[in-house]
Amino acid sequence: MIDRKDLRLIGFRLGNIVLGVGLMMLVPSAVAVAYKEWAILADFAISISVSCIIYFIARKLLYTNDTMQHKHSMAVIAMGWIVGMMIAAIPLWLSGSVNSYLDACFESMSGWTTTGLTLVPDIDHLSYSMNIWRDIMQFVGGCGIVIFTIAFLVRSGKGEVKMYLAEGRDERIYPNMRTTSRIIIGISLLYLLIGTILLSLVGWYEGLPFENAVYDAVCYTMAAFSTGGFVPHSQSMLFYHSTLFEVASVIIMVIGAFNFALHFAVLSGDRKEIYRNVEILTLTMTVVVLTIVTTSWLIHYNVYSGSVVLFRKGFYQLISAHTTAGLSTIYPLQMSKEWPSLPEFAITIAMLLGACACSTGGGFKALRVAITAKLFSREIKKTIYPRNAVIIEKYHHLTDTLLRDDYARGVLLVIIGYIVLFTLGTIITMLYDYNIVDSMFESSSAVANAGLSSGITSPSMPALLKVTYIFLMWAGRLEIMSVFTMVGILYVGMRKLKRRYSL
Amino acid sequence: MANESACLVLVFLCVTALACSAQTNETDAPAEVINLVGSIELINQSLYYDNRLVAYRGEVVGPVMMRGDYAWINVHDGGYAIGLWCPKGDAKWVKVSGDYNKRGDVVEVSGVFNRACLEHGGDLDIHCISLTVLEAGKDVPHPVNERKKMTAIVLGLVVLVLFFERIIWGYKATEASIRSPIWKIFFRIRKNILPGVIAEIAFTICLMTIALVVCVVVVFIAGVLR
Repeated sequence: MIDRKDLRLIGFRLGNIVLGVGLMMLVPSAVAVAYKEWAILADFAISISVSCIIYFIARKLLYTNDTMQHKHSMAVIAMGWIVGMMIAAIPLWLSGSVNSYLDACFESMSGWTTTGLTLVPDIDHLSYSMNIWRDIMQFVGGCGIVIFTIAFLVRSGKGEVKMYLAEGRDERIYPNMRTTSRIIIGISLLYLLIGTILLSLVGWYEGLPFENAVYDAVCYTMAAFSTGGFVPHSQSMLFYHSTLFEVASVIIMVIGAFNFALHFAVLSGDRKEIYRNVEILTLTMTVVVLTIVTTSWLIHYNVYSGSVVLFRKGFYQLISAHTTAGLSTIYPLQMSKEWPSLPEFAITIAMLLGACACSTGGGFKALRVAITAKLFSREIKKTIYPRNAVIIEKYHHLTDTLLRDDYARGVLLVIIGYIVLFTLGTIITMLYDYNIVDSMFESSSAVANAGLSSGITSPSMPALLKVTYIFLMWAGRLEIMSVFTMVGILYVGMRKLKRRYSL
Repeated sequence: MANESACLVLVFLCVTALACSAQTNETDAPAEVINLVGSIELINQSLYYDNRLVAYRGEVVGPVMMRGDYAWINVHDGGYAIGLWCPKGDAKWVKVSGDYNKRGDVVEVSGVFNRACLEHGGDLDIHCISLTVLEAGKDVPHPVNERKKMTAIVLGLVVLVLFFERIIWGYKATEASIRSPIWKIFFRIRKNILPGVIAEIAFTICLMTIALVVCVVVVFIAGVLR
C-alpha cells in the first residue's frame, strides 16, 4: 500500500534526478560560451536554475532517510524519466528550436530513451550547444539517467540496486552499485574517445574542415554508441556521401549495441567471450537472416543494384535498425516510396528484436530472443522425447546458465508487453490514415527506441500521435514493468483518495 | 570572275548546308527543358526524374567537402537537403555555408538527378553541370532576449539564496562549529540579523495594520454617533 511516507520518499528521489538533469546542462552551457551563443546560454541558465530550485524545495520539504523498496524504485524510475523529459525540454522550448513545449517533450524523451525520432524543423540551423544537449541526452540516456545519479549524486545502497534494475537492466557488473555505474560510464567514455578520434580523422580525410570534423565526430559518436540517432545534419549519414564514414559509424553502432557486462568481460581479458556469448551469436544470426531478406528483395525489385550500393543502402538501414541506432543513409520518404513492403517489414522486425540486454539499445533484446528460442526448442524436444526424459537447455552468457522456468516466464512477459505496445501504437497511427506497413514501422521505431522513420514523424503530425509516441518510447525504454508498477501505484493512490473523501 | 562566282556559290552552298543541318539537329533532338524541381518532388517522384536533367535551388547547408577535382555541396530548399556533386571550380563560388550563425549562399544548379547513383554508392544526388550563386549568404544575429536575461538573473539569485540557505541550515548547527569567518557572517545573518530584520518589518506591518483597523473603527463609530 502507498502512504504519505512512500510519496515523500519518491518525491525526494525525484528531486535528485531533477538536479542531475540540471547539472548535465552545464556541458551545453560551456559549449554555448565557446561558440558565443549568448541567447542559448540564457535558456540553459533559466533551465538549470529551475531544476536547482525544484531540488532545493524537494530537499527542504521531503528529505527522508528511509530505505527504498521495490515499489519505490519502480515508481521513481518511471516518474524520473518523465520529470527528466520535462526539465530537459525547457531549453529546447525556450530557444525556439521546436514549435511547442509538447514537441520539446517529444524531443527530450526521444533523446533520453536513445530513440532519435526528431521534431526539430530546421536541424541544419540548430545551435551547436543545442545539438550537443540533444546528444548528451542520448549519451546519458544510453547509460541510464539513474546510473549517472547513482554514480555522482547519491550514496550506494539497497534502494539504488533496485533503481538500477528497474531502469531496464538485468545484470550487475559488480555487487556495489556505484562501482557498476562508474564502470558503465567509464566504458562509454572510452568508446566516446575512440569513436571521436576515428570519425574526426575520417571526416577530415573526406574534406571537412578540422573544427567541423571534430564537432561532428563527437555528435555522431554519441549518436552511434548510445544507439540514439540525433545528429547535427538533417540528412543524417547521407550528409557525408562517404563509404568510410558509414563503415566507421557501423563499427561504433555495433559496439554500442553490446552488453556492458560483455564489454567489461572482454576489456578485462576474456576475449573469447565475444565468440561464445549467446547474445552475440543470436545478434549475428538475426542480422545475417534479415540482411539476406532485405538485400535480396531490394535487388529483386531493382531498387538498388551492385554490392556496394546494397551494403550502403540495404545493410546500413538494417544494422542501424537492429542496433536501434536510427542513423540513416536514405531519406525517410524513399523507404515508403521506393522500397517494397518486405524489406521495410524486415527492418521493422530488426528494430523490434533490438540490441543486447544491458546495452544502450532498445527492443526485445538478443538475450530474450535467445531464451525464447531455447524455450521453444525445449518444448519441441519434450514432445519428441519420451515422457520421462529430462530435458535441460543451457546457454552461455558470461557463464554457462541453465534455462529456468521463472526467468523464461519473465522474458516472455516482457516480449508480450512489447508486442501489446507495438500493436497499440500501430492502431493509433493507422487511425490517422497511414498505411499499415508505415504505421508498423513508425510504432516499432518508437517502442524499440530505434529512431528510423518512414516519414510519419514530423512537426506537423497530430498531437495525439506525438503523445502516443512519447508513451511508447518511455514504456519501451523502461521495458514495461516499471510502467505497470507506476500505473498500479497511481491507481491505488486514486482509490485511497476516493475512499478518504468518499467520492 | 568565274572563279569568284564559283567560290561564292560554294560558300553559299556550305552555309545553306550548315544551316539545314543545324535546323535538322534542332528538330530531331530538341534541347531538354530544364524544370526547377523541389526536393520533396524529386524524392517522391524519384523514378520519374532518375537520370533526367533538372534545375534545383536552395541554401547551402553544412561545410563544402572537397574530394579531388570535385566537391560535395548539400543544398536545402525547405523540404530536404540534397547532395550536389560539383566540379571543384564551381564549388569555389560558394563562400558561405548555412549554420546557426549564418544563412548560406542560395544557389541554383542544373544537373543530372540520380535516384541511386552508382558512382556514389547509391546516394540520391545531383551531378552538377552548372552552378550559379543567386544570393550571397549572410550572418544571422541572435540577440539575447532581455526578459530571458532578467529571468535568468532572478532565478540565479534564488538558487544562490537557496544554496546558502542549505549550506547554513543543513550542515552548520552552531556558530562555534563554524571556522571560516565568511561562513560566520552568513551564519549570523541567517541566525540573528535576517530573522531580526524580518521580525522588525513584521512588527511594523502589524503596527500599521492595527493603526489602520483603529482608524477604520474610529471612523465607523464617528459615523454612527453622527
